[in-house]
Amino acid sequence: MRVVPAILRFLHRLLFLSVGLALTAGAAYAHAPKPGARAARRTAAPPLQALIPFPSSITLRGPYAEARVLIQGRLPGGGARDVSGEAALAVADPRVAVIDADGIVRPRGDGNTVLIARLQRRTARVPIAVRGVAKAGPPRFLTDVLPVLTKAGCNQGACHGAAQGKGGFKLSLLGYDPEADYEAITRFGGARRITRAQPENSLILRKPTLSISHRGGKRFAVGSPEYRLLRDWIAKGVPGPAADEPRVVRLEVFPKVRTLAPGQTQRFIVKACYSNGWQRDVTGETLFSASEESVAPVTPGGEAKAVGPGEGAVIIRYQGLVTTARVISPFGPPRRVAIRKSRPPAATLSEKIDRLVQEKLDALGLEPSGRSADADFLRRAYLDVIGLLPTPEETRAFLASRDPQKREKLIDALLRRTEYVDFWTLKWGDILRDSRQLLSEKGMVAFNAWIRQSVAENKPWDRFARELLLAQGSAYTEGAANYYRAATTPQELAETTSQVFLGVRIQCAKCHNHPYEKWKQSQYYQMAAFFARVRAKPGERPGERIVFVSDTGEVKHPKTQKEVLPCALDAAPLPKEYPGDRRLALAEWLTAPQNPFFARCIVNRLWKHFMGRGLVEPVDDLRVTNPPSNEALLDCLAQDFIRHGYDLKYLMRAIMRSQTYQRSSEPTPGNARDTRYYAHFPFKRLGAEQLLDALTAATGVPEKFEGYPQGMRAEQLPDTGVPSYFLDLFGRPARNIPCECERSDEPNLGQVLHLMNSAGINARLSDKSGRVAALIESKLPDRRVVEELYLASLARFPTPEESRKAVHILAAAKDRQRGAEDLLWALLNSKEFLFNH
Amino acid sequence: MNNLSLRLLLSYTLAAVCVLLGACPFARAQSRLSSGKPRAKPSTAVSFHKDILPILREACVGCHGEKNPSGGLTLTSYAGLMQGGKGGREIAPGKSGESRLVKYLLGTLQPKMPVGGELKPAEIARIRRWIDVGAKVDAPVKAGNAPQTPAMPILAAPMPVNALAFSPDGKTLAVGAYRQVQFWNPETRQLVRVWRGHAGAIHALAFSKDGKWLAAGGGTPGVSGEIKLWDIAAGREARTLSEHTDVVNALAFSPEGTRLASGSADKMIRLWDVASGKALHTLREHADVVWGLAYSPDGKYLASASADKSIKVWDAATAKLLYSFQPHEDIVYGVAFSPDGKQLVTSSADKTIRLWNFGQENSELTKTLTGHDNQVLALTFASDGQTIATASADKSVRLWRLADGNNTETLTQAKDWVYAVCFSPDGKRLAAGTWDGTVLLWNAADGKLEGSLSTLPPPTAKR
Repeated sequence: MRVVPAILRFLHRLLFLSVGLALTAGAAYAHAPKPGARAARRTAAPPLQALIPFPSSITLRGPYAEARVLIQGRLPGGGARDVSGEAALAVADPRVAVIDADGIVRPRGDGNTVLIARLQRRTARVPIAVRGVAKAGPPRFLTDVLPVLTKAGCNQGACHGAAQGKGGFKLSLLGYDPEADYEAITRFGGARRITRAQPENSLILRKPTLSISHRGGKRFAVGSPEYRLLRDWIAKGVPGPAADEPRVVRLEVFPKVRTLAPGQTQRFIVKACYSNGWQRDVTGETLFSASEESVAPVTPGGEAKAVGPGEGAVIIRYQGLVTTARVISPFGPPRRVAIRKSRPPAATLSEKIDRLVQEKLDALGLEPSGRSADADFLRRAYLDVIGLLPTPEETRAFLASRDPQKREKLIDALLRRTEYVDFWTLKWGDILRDSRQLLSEKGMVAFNAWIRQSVAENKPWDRFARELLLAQGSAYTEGAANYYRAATTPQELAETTSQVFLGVRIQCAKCHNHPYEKWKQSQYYQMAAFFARVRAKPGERPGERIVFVSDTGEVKHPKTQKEVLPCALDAAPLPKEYPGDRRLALAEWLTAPQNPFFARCIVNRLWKHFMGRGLVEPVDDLRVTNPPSNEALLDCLAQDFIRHGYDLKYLMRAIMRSQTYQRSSEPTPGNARDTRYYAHFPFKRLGAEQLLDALTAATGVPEKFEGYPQGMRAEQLPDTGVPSYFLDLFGRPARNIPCECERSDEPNLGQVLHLMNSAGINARLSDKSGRVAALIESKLPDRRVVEELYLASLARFPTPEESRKAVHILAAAKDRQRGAEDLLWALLNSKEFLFNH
Repeated sequence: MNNLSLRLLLSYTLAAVCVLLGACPFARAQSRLSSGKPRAKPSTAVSFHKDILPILREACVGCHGEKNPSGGLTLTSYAGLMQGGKGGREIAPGKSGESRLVKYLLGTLQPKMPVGGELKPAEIARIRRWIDVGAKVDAPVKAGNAPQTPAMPILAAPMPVNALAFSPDGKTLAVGAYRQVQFWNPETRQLVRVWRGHAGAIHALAFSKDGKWLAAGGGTPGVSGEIKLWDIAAGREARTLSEHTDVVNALAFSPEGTRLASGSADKMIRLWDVASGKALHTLREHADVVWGLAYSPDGKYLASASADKSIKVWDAATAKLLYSFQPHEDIVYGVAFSPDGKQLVTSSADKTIRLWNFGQENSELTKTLTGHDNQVLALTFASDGQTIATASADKSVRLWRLADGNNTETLTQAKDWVYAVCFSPDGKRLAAGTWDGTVLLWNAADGKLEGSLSTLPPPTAKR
């Protein structure tokens, strides 16, 4: 019989919820693009003032060279448009060079001629010089053959570049090991892939042309330039990689930056610069990809198209080298740039932040949202600094204050709170993997104490890192020594140290050169070599381990089986007879002001913490091919942070004092589509511990964790191994990997159902010692009860409209306590409660 | 009241779940089902072999071939197409719109086929027309192996020597070259004879013990395997055995010469009756390319070496697998029995050679011989049973004394990978074949190089 009322109660609450959803959904809908806004901006092409070719001259060296030409049409306003596809292109002397339908210029005979581009009665001329065709040697393996195989996709990860190869044919991933590839092609399998006596019969030509069945499909056609090059290489004796072949040392891309209107396209040309000074158009063998498919996807041939507003990188990979070009597609017309230039230089870091964010917004035609309301700022600052909601008393006091400095004062006060230590100990405990599963309970507690102490004294980040790297002694007493227990092998330690402190994911280079970065396999083992002598021996107590540094131990390269000398990324290797603890050299390099990664990595982590999205995402994946959304800002933050002694609280204060941080989360029509440039404050779902502590605070019913005293908050737990269904449900990490990504803010059905109708939530609402019961007991008028419930959950006063409706609910309820419970239940299920906004 | 509440609850919950999941799944599923009415009218006859099979061969058999076909569907023949795969029948004769094959080609079933590409509309229309008129099969266009290698001149370019064999009387050295077997006098190092007509490079050579037959194995990589049995006395080809679907890498005659075992890149081992040319057994247990074969001297056992890193021992009479073991970390290339049948030797890409006490149920490791700096591609026993020779990608040939496992000689005159090695029957001479088309001959007793042969045919020699 109790069932029916319970169901009705549930439905009742659902109705509440749907009202709440409708109220908060407005913000989400505002993000949708306005139809027609973009179409209106697309206008008829204006007349061109001139054709500007790139490159301005072409040299084709040898019969396999090719070159592309970009024709930029200069527009009346000073801008330019890619008209390569529209201009008529012709080569004057076809005996010297020819141009095909795709605009590719190929040599025919030694000599000089000129390429002529025509469009709208404008012309441009590009001189062409062809050399080395008459007396051509065979195609060279490194310069000619390997790039063709890479572009055809033969050595990609899903095909023969897989760790085990495919179909018995294994190539190195994207050709990082040319010697092995050469043997695989010409020698392995009884040399079955090459038929020098009948080159066209070679398996390596018949398979990719689908002349015979090929699981990888058709990669190029019989008679294509790729085919001819490979055939000639076979016919001329399959010469292998030669020591004197010039190596690619640098890539150049044109254009480097391009602003595109929606729907506009831009082709890119890539030039490889060789060790002997040669330059060559390698666009045809370049692998193109886009960092932001939603902004500017790029074709395999290297043509980007603006499809959505924002900034995107065109990622360019050729023979182990990477570079990028930038595509900007403004949200609206660029804004007020000229006025801002005349301003006085920014004095504080906060001002610099605002200046640099504003410059980006101007360039992208985004207008910033206004300043957040005091109540929003208050709740935001509490959650971001101490992980907790302000109490109703604190909220009342802050909102009532007339002090013009009250936000700055609040920031300073929060940074001094003891809860700050709880919250940031939790944060660093995640990436340092402070976990009883990994470290045993005693080790975990010791590590936790070390992190707490470091946070409490605001230990500069360079010292923090240094102490971890140089830690020794018992993991039960020297907390920092647990750094060497969470990861134990030299390889793991190299990976962890790189990811945590440099934001560099070198683990890809463990088995092969990094496919999206310049890191080579050898560099991975050189990093590992710093940790080759770290050992652990048993202590006196059960399970105790003592970390110490031995004077022997080396790391071997898995392929050459030779010992590798320690060498930090892009640094000089350690001398063979380096005396003492190698980790010292690593720590010196790591925390040197010149280190290009260390400061950028931590400021990016902090920026993400406060601003919801890292300047680089993921935060621990800093690399050329993953450029920051605001390079100048990341640079400025890092430099300023270094100048201020790696002071974390200084940086937090500066970020929080900025207008950027204090912007409203309410988007405007002009910035609703921005998710990356901080035109409005983002929505951040509360973390698992934040949410549980917020629920506890709002309902006034503390949580009890097994083995820990009543009233201990979730953010105070020493590790994530304390059993809690709620915390696991809301994405608490197991601390198995040294990555912030292990903490999840992904929504799921379980979370929604748990908040809506779990016994736990219901018990909190109706608890006799809880907030609702106390309010009813207090005999406060309905209006005040409603006010208290809003303050306790949303940290703001209700609007008059909300107050009127809520009071009506309380008044209409048969049971006033039940009515108040329903109201608080609805508030706790609102997005406003679940999100930091 | 009770019922009503429950129903309300259910519908509320369902609606909430749908909203949370982002969309109602039913609507999407339904919109998928509607395409696929036959558009092309059945008209002129469509031939399976002339019109359909070529499309399948070009677009499908890369994944739906005979070896480990995707989805269990083989599209190399009419039977395979009609049988369908794990997902059921692909063809509904008369109803192209209901045929799964067509749905995959149109993308109404995912993944759209062929993966990473698509057929031309005309090709899809042709397939649909063929199904709509009943999906009948016609007579094959032409028997024999699939795509013929195009006719083109053979260039005077060096090709690797993958196979060598001394005739039982020791007077002739057979050398596997490109599309031909060359016979050389090992004393004078003169080319005596050339037998032509092979499909591609020769990868395996074996004389029967009685000197009656020479078997030469090779084929067209990725397409077909070919074994030619030459009648030595008559000096002509007796027959061609062509059931392998990739190059034949290994050949071994049974000791009494009545059977021939062949191992191929198609992962199969086949046993043939020499007299009739009949295929007796197909041994399918290897998971990768078969590189080496050896009969035990008593003819009871056959041992095989494979890129799947295993050695398998078979009952030579029944072709039953007796046991399998993993002697190495990498590809096993070579396998040989000692002349007394008590020992087995294996060589591998892991750079080692291993000696085993051979048994009926398993073999026990007795020694690991190390010294080669690269893959050990071939090995052979001298007739004295005391010496073995190994050929390696480190460009050397090494001689090893079985008794103590010592490396007695390292012959370094080869200039490239050494793929083949064999002793003369009297054990006095050693021959090795290299990637650059050279055969080197040594005096086995003192390791002195006697001379070398080039397999490049003299310019006057006609095809």
